[in-house]
Amino acid sequence: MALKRMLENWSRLRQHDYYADEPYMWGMSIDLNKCTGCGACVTACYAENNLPVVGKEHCGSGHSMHWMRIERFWTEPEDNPDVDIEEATDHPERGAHYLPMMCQQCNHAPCEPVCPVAATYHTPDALNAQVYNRCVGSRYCGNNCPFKVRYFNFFDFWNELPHPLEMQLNPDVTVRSKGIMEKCTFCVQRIRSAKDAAEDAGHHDHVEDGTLLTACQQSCPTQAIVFGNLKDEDSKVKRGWESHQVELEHFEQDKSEDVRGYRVFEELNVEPCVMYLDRVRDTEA
Amino acid sequence: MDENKSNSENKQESANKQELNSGWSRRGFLKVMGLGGAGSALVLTGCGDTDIINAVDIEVRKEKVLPNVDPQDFVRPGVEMYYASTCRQCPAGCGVHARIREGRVLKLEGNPASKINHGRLCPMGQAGLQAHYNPDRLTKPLLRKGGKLVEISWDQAEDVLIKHLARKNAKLAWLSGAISGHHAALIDAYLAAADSKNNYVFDTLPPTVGHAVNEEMFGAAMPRLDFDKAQLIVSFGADFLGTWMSPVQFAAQYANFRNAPRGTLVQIEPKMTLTGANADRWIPARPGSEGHLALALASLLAQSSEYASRIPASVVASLKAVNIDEIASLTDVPAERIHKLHHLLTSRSPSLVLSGPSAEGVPHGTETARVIQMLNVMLGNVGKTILPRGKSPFPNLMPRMGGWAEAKSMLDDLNSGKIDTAVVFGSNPLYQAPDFMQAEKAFAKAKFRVSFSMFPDETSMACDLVLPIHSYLEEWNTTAPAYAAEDGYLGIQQPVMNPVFGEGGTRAFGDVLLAVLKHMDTNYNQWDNYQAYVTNALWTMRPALVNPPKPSVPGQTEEEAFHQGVMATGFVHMQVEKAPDIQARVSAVSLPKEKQNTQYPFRLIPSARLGLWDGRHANLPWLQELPDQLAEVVWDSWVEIHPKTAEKLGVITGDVVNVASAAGKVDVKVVVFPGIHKDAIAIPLGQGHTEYGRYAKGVGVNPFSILTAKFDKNSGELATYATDVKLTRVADRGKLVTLKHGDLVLESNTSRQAGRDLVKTTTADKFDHSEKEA
Repeated sequence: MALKRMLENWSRLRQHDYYADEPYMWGMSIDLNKCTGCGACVTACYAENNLPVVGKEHCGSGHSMHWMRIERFWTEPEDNPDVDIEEATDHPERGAHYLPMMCQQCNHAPCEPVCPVAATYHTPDALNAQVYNRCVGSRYCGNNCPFKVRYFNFFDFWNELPHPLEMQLNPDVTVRSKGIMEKCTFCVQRIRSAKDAAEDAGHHDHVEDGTLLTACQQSCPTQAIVFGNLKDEDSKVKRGWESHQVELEHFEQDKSEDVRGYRVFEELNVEPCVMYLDRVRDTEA
Repeated sequence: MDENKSNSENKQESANKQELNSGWSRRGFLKVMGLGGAGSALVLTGCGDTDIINAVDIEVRKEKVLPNVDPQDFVRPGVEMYYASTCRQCPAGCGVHARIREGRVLKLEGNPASKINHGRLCPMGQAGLQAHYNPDRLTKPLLRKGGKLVEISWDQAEDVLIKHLARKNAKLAWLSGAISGHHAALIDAYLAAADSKNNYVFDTLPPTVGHAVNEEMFGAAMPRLDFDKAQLIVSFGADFLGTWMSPVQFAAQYANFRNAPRGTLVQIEPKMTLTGANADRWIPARPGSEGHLALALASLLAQSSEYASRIPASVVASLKAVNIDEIASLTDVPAERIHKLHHLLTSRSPSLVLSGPSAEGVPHGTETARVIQMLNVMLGNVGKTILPRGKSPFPNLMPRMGGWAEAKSMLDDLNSGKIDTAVVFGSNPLYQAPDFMQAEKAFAKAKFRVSFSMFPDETSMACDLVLPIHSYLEEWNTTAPAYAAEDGYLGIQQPVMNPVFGEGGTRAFGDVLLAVLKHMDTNYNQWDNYQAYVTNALWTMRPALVNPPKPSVPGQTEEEAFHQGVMATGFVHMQVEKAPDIQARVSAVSLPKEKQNTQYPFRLIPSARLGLWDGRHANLPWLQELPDQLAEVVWDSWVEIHPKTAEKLGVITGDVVNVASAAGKVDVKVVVFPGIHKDAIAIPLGQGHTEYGRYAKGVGVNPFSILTAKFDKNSGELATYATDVKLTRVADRGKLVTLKHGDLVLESNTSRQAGRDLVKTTTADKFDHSEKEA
């Protein structure tokens, strides 16, 4: 997508029917009733996407490159009389709160309009794409991201990769160099090859649900992560979104009380393509 | 049929049309140019070393693009292949699919057909690649000459090995890590030929005490557990989602357990584990008092004849003396909570009560495990969620988990001079054994020490001959998992690529030992190598297997079809006789009341983490950089202290304290952590290596090193959760802003959601209700 075309179409991009005729909109749902916070997804992402290990000092400077991270909280968002522990104790007796967090592939992505060189843009299949070759490293996008899931290459981390660790690198994924912003791509290389395989098998514009797994989803021991095409009425992820009453084009979901679906920072109206399902605790225990 | 066909033809046609309409796609263009699907990878890979076929010598940063005139078997540039094999990163033995391109393994995925992990894989399994491609792997045999280890050739190494090992020697001792399958069988064969009875197995995490109690009460060391049938799981420190037995398998069952109608999890332990973090109710019991809590529950249950009738009357009588209020103060769990727990146990059935390492790792560990399992018997869970285990037709292939008692008896034998030659394979006692055991000194008493190792670990570096072996992704083998939901599962390992360091570098452990064995017993000459040994053994086992693969392609022989079928599946099932129902044996248990140690007021919890495990994965950078699931620390050791205790001691996160036991002391940084009992402090396992390569050496401390000499009286196992320590503040935290000076690094300092709806919580009632409607 040329920069010129993008600028010309800017106002249209924000129309809700702009992508209406596209066959794909990739989406995800993460069930916090099942997520145990083990970190299998995090390591799987390192392996699949050539994420550099930056070492202790860089971790301390906030240079970690984990496209997928697990946030751990000890408290409820605010007073939750249903779940709060009946008596005040000194311990988190309801366990931890885990939140796997990666790029939410917003359809109204705040990172996109601020890029001075259109290195980050929206693909027709609703991915928030990052063009490494175009990126000049202004870091405006990272600054604008409400989820803080964009990671900047402050160094050429790969220069220090000792032999033979480089043999593990996935040739389907670019190795990023210094000065580049990067983030979760929903395993775009797997999406491409699944689309190609579907075309080869004669299924035009239709990737069979379940044949395409992201690396995090594939490794998840409890299968808390579901990924698929939100335009496919029969896909597991679409059915999940429907049954948990989360709809696109909303900044406030009109849903019945007991239904668990929500999107993080819904109120910002950034239209994430990732739905979370409430964590659950048995209050009788 | 015809209709279907024409349908698909139509689709194809319309697809072609579409392609024509939209002009040339880039993909179509590449096809015409003869580069094939994803073929551009051949020239365009972003990674420096594109050694297309890795048998060609690998030189750093030198690209060699080979013409694809004479491709190797199974190598088509740009096309990925998957090989089925078995993960050996921990004794769980998950099935893996290894993704191969251009002769290199790039990714490990779970094998979807495997009943162990159902296509899923934990962080340690994923990081197996970094063990395989580790820059600190040993690539040449080492021999001690004049006190120093020097590189020698494999020919020389073999000569030395034959001289020392290929003879009858009753004073030879063999030490392995948790082991199973044909490696175990081969070692047995070797020791039989060498006329030695000194076969030791030492691994730190397998629940040896729990296994012994299961064997005693249920007739099987590891009965089958049905997590998903239980409505309630009460776990006394069994971290089944993190480090207990077979975490991926249990996590898969746990996911079903959490479906509507949702099961409830109660975790009782002094330090919160990953499982505790997911509990509906986490109960911090005073360390070492778990048995008393179980005893209180048993006495409450015994008041009803329904539960009392399941255990002998004499045991019921012994429970009468139990005083709930006394136990409440002993365990630091309010009496009200104990009564609530009792109510929960009686209202949700079937349930499952688990006993784990923090409950068992005390001097009265066996008694504690007995009373915990007694709850299962009283609640009628035996036969419902605890199921019998059939006897394998090949007991010598079954997993041997080993334990501290074996390590100790080996060290005793070394000290008393009963051993002159020691062979170590897959175990690292010089790192793991506490200082009081003086493993190094005992080890030095052997006249000749041999190590088979991938890495320069502490034990290998103290040996006289170090043999660099293949990674589990380079060798043939079979592995029986530590726990399998189905009896008789045997995982198959095959090399998924050529050895990383070429033919002259590392060798398969099986090949080296088989070569020694050939010098001692000519029967073994019938196998050219370990691959032949394994495949032949599998072929011989065929009549005892469930549904062995049969020819499916014309012209295929039975044997070819069998081997190809087995390799493609990645595992076999041995026929196992149906086990008779469990007849539980229950006996009365009395527990000592521990006194507060005034000199050393805190209990040390050497907590295991899913990641570094017992320290064997400290050399894998992905796992060092994976934040601890609870404390969020990377690349370091730390001590977890409860906020109230920290306040009393006047320390904050990042300060350095000295943790001293009667047997030793370490300096370690503080993490103020709410998920721990006030009388306990926890130092995670895994760090504190003095060898083991660039990523592990010199990082953090090893809490095992300061354990005191306390043993479980019945099993002789080291009581790893029974060391008392005191804390002294040493230094303030350093620069937490720049963190350039070796300070503690937390990946997240946020513990509160601060009013943002990040993780919302709903109640199980609402969940069950809404899921039913959906």
